[in-house]
Order: sequence, then structure tokens, then C-alpha cells
Amino acid sequence: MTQQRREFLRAFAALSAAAAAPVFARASEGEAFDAAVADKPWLRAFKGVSDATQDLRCDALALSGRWPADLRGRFYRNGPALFERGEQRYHHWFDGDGMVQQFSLGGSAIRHLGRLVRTPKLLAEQKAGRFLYSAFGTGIQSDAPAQGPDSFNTANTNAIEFAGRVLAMWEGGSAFALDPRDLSTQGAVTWKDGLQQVPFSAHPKVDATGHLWNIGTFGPRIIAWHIDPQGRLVDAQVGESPYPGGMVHDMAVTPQFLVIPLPPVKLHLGRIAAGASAEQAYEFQASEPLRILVLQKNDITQRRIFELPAQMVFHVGNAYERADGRIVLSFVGASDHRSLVQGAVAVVAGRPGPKRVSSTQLAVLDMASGRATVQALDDSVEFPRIDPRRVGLPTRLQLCAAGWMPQPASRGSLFHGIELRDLESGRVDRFDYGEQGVAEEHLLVPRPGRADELDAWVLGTSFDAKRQLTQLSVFDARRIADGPLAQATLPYALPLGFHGNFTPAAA
Amino acid sequence: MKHLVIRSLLAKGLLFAAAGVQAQTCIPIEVHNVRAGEGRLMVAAYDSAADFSSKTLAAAVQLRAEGEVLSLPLCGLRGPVVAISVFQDLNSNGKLDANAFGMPSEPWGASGKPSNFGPPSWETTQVTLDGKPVIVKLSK
Repeated sequence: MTQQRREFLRAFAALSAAAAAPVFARASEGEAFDAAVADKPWLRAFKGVSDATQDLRCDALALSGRWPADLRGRFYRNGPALFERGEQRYHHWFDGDGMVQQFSLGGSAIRHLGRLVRTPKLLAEQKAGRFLYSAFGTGIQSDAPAQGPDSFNTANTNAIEFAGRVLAMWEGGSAFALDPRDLSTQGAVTWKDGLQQVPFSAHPKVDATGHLWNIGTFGPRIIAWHIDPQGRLVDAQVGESPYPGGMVHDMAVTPQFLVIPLPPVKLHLGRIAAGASAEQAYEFQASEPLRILVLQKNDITQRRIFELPAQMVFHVGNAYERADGRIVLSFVGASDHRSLVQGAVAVVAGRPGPKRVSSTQLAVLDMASGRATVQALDDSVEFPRIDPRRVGLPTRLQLCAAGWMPQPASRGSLFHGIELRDLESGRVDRFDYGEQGVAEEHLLVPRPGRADELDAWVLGTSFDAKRQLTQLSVFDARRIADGPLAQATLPYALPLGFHGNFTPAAA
Repeated sequence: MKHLVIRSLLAKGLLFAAAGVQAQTCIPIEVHNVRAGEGRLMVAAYDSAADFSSKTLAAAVQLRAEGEVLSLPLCGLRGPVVAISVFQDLNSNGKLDANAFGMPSEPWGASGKPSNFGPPSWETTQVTLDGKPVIVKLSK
């Protein structure tokens, strides 16, 4: 066991002792968190790593079951991981510095490497021994203004290996490139001179032809990025947002269009630095519609804006064009933004937070009439994913992290299972990780040489709160309820993360 | 010696201001985080909200970026409030370069408490002159 791993485990072990320790008035925010989670083992995974545990490595995960011999490649995940410096602890889940996790699947053995992304922010704060810049939900007294968003870019939301490098992405600034061999940080990606620090958002889509599409937004502006399969910029078009200053998190892509939900959440970004809470800084404007902005990919001045009743949206599942010209869009929506301004604040303070309310939504956008309809499904899900070969094409299956069983109040709204839904038949196949399990985003990974959507594995991580460890599980997409085909267990817990992608090994 | 001169000029200015006389004054400015030896420092000062919004300068100075901290007197102000905006013209093209979203790509700074999420406003930039140097920290 490495020194780093011992320190990391010790950090978790210390938490159980914290319950008995008196909480002093001058306890650091980190100590306050430790005390709060002493009786909530699920929330301890929000403790995060430290500079001493910024690199985690395990060369042989403990394996059980039969790992498919032909499931080979690299599974990446990203998420906020470092929340504390000195007496400070961040107040929002989205604030932590990003850590990319890489699971290398080689048939009979699985390795893990996790490294904090060495952003300029992380390096400057490590040197200073304190946080230097206000984050999404935490006001920090800054010594100087930021040169641009990359000064406080945490690269903490998603990771994808594309054209030979790993992109660690955040919503408001550049992607950071990492070397897939060792996750060393190569630096911020500038796709073209003049586009330094222009936001390259965290939910790019790679279409069936291998082209990568993305957006970026800030204030009144929106940019549409098109990167070819070799990783070269094809085009970057800048336009105006119909809802300036709004939160824009994800998008879908079809053969002709970019389809972008614009929830009515106004970001008053300067307020956090002035001392406001997330609830004061990020406003849900219930009288505004949920706009769906549809941009023509080759000329974003050609666009349509659809309006649906107000909803909060983080993530899309997929969009595709029907033969009748209508666009079908699946996404996960919520009646308000409490998960953003309450839930994501509560969990990093060691509190369970409000009840989750997000569910699958199926919208049909009529490009001829400009009218849109939406149907809400009766589920409780997030992190929707589809067959990666069918991005922008008709799909039936959508995989989500889900909750359907009653849970102890102190574990809050953390998902306990996964759910694969056939959006045409309504059939649902579920697996429950149990009361001690926390399910993270899972992926559909197509079996080599097969074509059907169900010819896939389901691959994902979960946190075992009882053992305080992270596990990787693989399922047969045709029989999820049967449980994992195999599992790989790390000797440590990873901070609960957001999103990731799988890169198959070269045949 | 230079600082003594500035202080004496400032003292006179404050005296005039106190007497209600519209007189020009000089104030000491300190600019921090300068990329030493790269291009020129462009300093602009405004002394009213109206002039700030119409970009009517009360004073402006250009100087070589010769050290990490530069001290200079800025004259021509009417007091008692000033807003100072600074950028470092690294490539000496006479303007603050920006990316396609309008975000500055050269070091910038302002007096007061500038926001990281938009251009300086009169409200965030204005400071009341009190005899001490006005400090402007360039972005990092």
C-alpha cells in the first residue's frame, strides 16, 4: 500500500472518530463536515482528496465474477475532488478541483489511476496554501482579478479521450488536455488563436461519424464548436443567446442541428464573490419558459427557439430527426433548481439536502410550426446516457442513475441504483445497489462487432458506504436486474463524481 | 524624493477640494502584477459616473512596463472620487485585446473591487481619495 493511499484511508478513518469529538466553535469547515457525516456514511465520499492524495493508483483491483474478456479499453470519469485547504472548505459540490479517474480494462486485469488536473488554479493554490479565487458556490477574497475563466477553471465535470488526448472539461472555460498514458496535464486547449479561454462546455457529443460537437456560453454569447475526428477545429461560430446570462449545461446533436435546452436559471455570477449564497446568486425564473434552442450546425444564424413550461435541466439523453421533420429530444428535467442551489450545497456540508425531483422528459419539436410538446415520465433519475454509436440517431434505450426505493432520510437523494428504460415500450430493467450503495453515472458500452442497442455492457462506479470503497461494475444490458457480471473493487474510495466516457482499446 | 513630490501635490489638491475649489490634483497610483519588460502600461482615470460611462477621460498615462510594481503620479483629476482602469498592452497595438467572447486576453485591472464576470463599472471601480496611493492589481 502506498503512502498516499494510507493517508487517504486515514482521512476516512478519522471521520468515524469525529462523532465523539466535541465540536469547538473555532473548528475548521473541514472538521465541521467530518462531524456532520459521522452518522451519514454515504456522504463521506464528499470529503474529497488533499494535495497528499492528489494522485491515486492501484495496479490490480480486486476482481469478482467473470470480467468479459473482450471488454478492453479505458473508462474515464471526472468530478470535483479537492474541497478543502487549511481552514477553508468549499460550500458547493461544483467547486472542487477536478480529478480524472482512469480505469484501464485489460480483460483479466483492471488498473486505476486518478489524478487531480494540474490547472493554473490548482498549482497557484497549492503554492499559496489557500484558495485564491471565488468558485461557483463559494466566495473567496481574491488578491487580484482573474485574467479569464481559466484562472479559476477547475476542469471538474467530464472527461473524454478524443484524438489521442484526454479532455478534462468544465462549463465556463477551456478544456484541459491530459496524456492518456499517465494522466499528466498538458495544459489548456486553445483550438484557434483568438479563441483562448472561450468556454468549451463539459458535454460535447461525438456523432456517428466521429466528429465532436460542443457549445460554450457566457453572458449574451454562445459558441458552437466542431472538431474533426483527428482533433482539429473545423469551425467555431459565435452567436447570441436568446436568454443571456442563463445556465446552459448540456446539448444534443442531430445530423443537421444542435439542440440546446436553456432552462430559466439566471446566473448572477458576480454575487458569490460579494458574499452571496448559491440560492441568492442563481435565480430560477419560473415565469420564463424552458427554451430549446435549435441551431443549424453549418450556420447557427439559422435557428429556432421552442418554448416549454419552465423546468430545470442539466442533462440531455439524445435527440434525433424524425422522417416528418420533427426532432425528438429526451432530457432529464426538474420542477425547479433546488438540486443546484440546495442539494449541491447540502451534500458538501454533510447534510442530506432536499428530496430529488428530476425525471425523464420526452419532447417533440415541430420545426415546421415552431410548436413543442413535452411528456414527463414517472421516474426519479439523472445522468442519462445512450448507445454512443447512436448519438443524434434514433434510439430506444436510455440508461440513468435512479432511485425508486424508500431510503434513510440521512442519505438524502443519492441514487441507489441504475435503470435502463426502453422509451418505446416503457420496459424498465433495474439494479439496486442497496441501502449502502450510491450509484454514479453508468455507461452503455457496445459489444465489439454487434449492432443492436441491447448488445452492450453497462459499466459504472458505485460507492459502498459500508466499506467506504469505490467499485466498478459491469452488467449485461439485456439482464441488468440479474446483477453485475463482474465487479472490481478499489482499496480506497473515490470522491463522488459526475461524468465520463469509455474508449475501446484498438482492435 | 519622487514620493515626497507626489505627497505634496496630493496635499495641495485635497486642500483645494476641501475649500470647494475646482482645481486639478495629482494622485499616486501603484500598479501591481505588471509583466515586467512586456509592452506598455495604459492607465486611464475618470472622475464622475457620467464621464465613466461616456469614456471621457480625466487623465491618461502610458508608460513602459519596467517593473512588477509601478508607481506613478496621475494628474488632472478634480477629486474627491476617481475610477482607474489599467491594462498592459503586451503587443503594443494600442488596445486591450480580447477573445471572441470579449474576454480580455491581456492583463487588466481596475481600482476598487473589479468583478471577474464583466467590465469594470463606476460602482465597483470608484474610490475616494484619502492621500494614500490608489492600488490597482493587474489580473493573474
